[in-house]
Amino acid sequence: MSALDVLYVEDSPSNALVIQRVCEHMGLSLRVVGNASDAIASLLETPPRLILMDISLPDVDGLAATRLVRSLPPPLGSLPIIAITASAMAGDRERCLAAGCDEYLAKPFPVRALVDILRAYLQQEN
Amino acid sequence: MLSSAPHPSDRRILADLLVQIDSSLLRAQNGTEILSALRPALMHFQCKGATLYFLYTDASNRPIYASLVAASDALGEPIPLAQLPTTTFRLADYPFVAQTIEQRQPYFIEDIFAHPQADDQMRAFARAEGYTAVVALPLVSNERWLGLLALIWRERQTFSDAVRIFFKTLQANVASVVAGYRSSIEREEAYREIERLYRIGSLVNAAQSYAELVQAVGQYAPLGSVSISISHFEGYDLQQARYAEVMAVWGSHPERVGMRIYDGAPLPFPTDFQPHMVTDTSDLSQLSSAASHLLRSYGFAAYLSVPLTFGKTVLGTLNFFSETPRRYSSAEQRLAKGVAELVAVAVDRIRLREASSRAQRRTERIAQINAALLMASDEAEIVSAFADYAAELEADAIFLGYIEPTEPDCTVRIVGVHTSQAGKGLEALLGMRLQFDAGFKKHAQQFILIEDAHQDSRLTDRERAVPFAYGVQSLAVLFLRSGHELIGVLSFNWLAQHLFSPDEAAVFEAVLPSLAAVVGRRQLWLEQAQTLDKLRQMDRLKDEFLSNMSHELRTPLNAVIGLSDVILEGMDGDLTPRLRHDIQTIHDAGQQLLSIVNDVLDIAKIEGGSLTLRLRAVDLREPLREALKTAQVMADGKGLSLSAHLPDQPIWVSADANRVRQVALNLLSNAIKFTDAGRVSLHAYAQDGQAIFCVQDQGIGIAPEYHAVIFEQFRQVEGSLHRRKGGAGLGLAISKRLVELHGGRIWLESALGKGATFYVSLPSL
Repeated sequence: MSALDVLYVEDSPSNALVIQRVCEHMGLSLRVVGNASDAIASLLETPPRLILMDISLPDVDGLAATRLVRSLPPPLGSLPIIAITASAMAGDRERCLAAGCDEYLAKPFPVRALVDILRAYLQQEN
Repeated sequence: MLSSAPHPSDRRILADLLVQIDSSLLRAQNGTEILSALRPALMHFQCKGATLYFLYTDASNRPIYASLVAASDALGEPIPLAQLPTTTFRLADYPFVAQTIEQRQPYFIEDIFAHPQADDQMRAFARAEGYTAVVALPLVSNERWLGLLALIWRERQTFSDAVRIFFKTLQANVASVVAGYRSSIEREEAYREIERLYRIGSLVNAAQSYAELVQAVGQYAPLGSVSISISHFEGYDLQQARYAEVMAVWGSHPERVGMRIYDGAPLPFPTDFQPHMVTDTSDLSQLSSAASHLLRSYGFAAYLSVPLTFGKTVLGTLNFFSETPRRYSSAEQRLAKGVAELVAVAVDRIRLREASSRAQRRTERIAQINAALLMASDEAEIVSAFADYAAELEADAIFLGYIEPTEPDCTVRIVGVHTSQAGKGLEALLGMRLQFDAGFKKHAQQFILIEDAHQDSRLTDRERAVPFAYGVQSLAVLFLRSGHELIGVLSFNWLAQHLFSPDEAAVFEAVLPSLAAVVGRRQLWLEQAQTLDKLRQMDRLKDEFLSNMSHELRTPLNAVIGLSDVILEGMDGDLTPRLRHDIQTIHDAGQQLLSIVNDVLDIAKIEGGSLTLRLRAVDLREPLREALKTAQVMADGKGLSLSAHLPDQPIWVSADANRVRQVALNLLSNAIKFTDAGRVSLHAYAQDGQAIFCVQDQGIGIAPEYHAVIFEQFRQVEGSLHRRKGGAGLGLAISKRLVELHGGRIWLESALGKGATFYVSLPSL
């Protein structure tokens, strides 16, 4: 059993707050990092059970970060990755899934949708 | 040198000799027989030999040259003329002989080497022939110069008075015989002339070309020529100079065909209908030095040029060239004139036929070029449209150049090149920018034809530099204009000199309008392609901008909607009703803003043509049910009843289910928005090959004048009542576009205060 439930890669504090509140409510431990390299460092140090990935990040984007994670050996490389992005134009969903994300959630999203996804992935793992 | 030969001075002996000679002379038929008749005298005086020349005169009846007719030895036996070094000589070269002849008296030279008046030339001649003494008898009859009889002695002689009288008598006798002989020759010639004319006539009438014509003349009336030519007056060339072109040659120097001869340069054109004769091309009193030089370069020593006249027009000339200086007898001139009359008729016939076949070829060529131009879609193809014609004209390169907008110079960029094998080197010009003075654009003509680029004064030094650098000697430059503006040039280039014909000028003139139009069209297309590229780039920038805007708006909206959602879900603890109301309002406002963002993106994508449908076979009821699910929440919120009437059977359409749901939801949310109390219903059914669904409300209704406007962007029905319902006014516009993209139709039925029904029809599968 991992010490960390959710790793959220997000550079917008106000957006991070939404997830923080949801995770608090669901009793999940959360770590928020603001860029892809911090995400990889955190991942190696404390592997989470699930990764929430913003796509537009200050260093490499979330798609590249996702591909990076997927290149790691299991179990890290096979962690569930949920893309949460404000890129909601045509083709964005396909790009995220192609990069290796398991789910795609466009911002803004109904809180319930996120709750459902977290439940589905984390319970399934249990 | 002294001689002691005994000269019988007995007058009787001399008289006997004359009688003896006279009877033979009367029987003499030709020059050899005349000399043979002199045998008793030759033997009596122990001569070395005798020669008989014919004399020919100029127009003023001055003898100008002598032509050897016969020669004999000491016994009167003929010596073949081929064995003699000189058969014809110009009297001008022997002034002493000319002088003596003109005195018409027998002339006695007892010792030419001691004679005070004999010149060096004569002495050299005498030394070569091996004689010392001469008796020269000019033969004249009725003021007509006939010939010259000369008797020569190896040794020095002393001529007594009796001997001198003898020769004077002999002179008169021989003259009358030679007169008869020459007349008979001319009669013979006259007879042959008629025969020849008859034969030539039938050949000339059948001749199909200038070559056949000149062949006929050469065969039957060569007049001793080595070469015969027909020159045709072509009219005027590009410099407005009148010229004759050599159309055909018989005999030597056939390369003269195609040569142009200008009036007076070097030969004068006939001014009347009379033959023109030059008896000796080295005699500069008869012709210009330029003409003399030209003719002698071909080895022509004399010529006769006869005008070819048709009616009162001089069409050209028929020219006979001789290798040796000679006079053309009046009989020969008559024959030449007769032939020329026949030839002129044929020339006129051939000229007309060739003109008409040239015109036909020209028309075909123009049609072929125009057809190729019509199909040409780029510069290489435009240039290739002229490839066949360039080959016909033996041009070495064609260039197409576009004028570039530069000041003050004129820049021509070479955009198309076609070359012959020899002109391969000129391909290097492709892509080059040639700089000319501003005046280049002001050439007033449609085209200029330059036969010698190095000399032509119409070119500026800068313009001349280009052909000079590439070894181009002749060129045609066609100026392509759009209106008055010069937009390009097409040039034909020759490495060797090319003489332009009026035909070529006519072809250039005829193809110019379509060429200019095709080039104009092509340039417009290039401009448009450039504009299109810019537009595409702008479009990409716009898409990027939209994508960024969408991203930047969604991120804060996510916090607004997400956090208000979190609070409303109770994740932050319990809420007072007042707080719940206010947070709900924030949440709804965020949602509203989000839907505006989505609408604006949709419209932008639809307008930009980047929205594409993902068409599938869809049961229409599915997207409608999904829309109903969402709308139900909204209806519940307003306390409205929402009813759905969907058939039990699937309604198959080819559609993008997401987009159909979007349209249905838009109509449903509008209906809910504009209905304050009552019912909203959704119906779906199939009818006449169409799948139809409609949303009916019991709202305020829409006046008929707004039924069309309502589907336009950013339009809502005017009035504060409606304004307050919010929305960017894009929903219906988007719905209409989406339905139309499906090949369907959207419309409404409504009256003010009676509610409204919006219909959507989609083609059934």
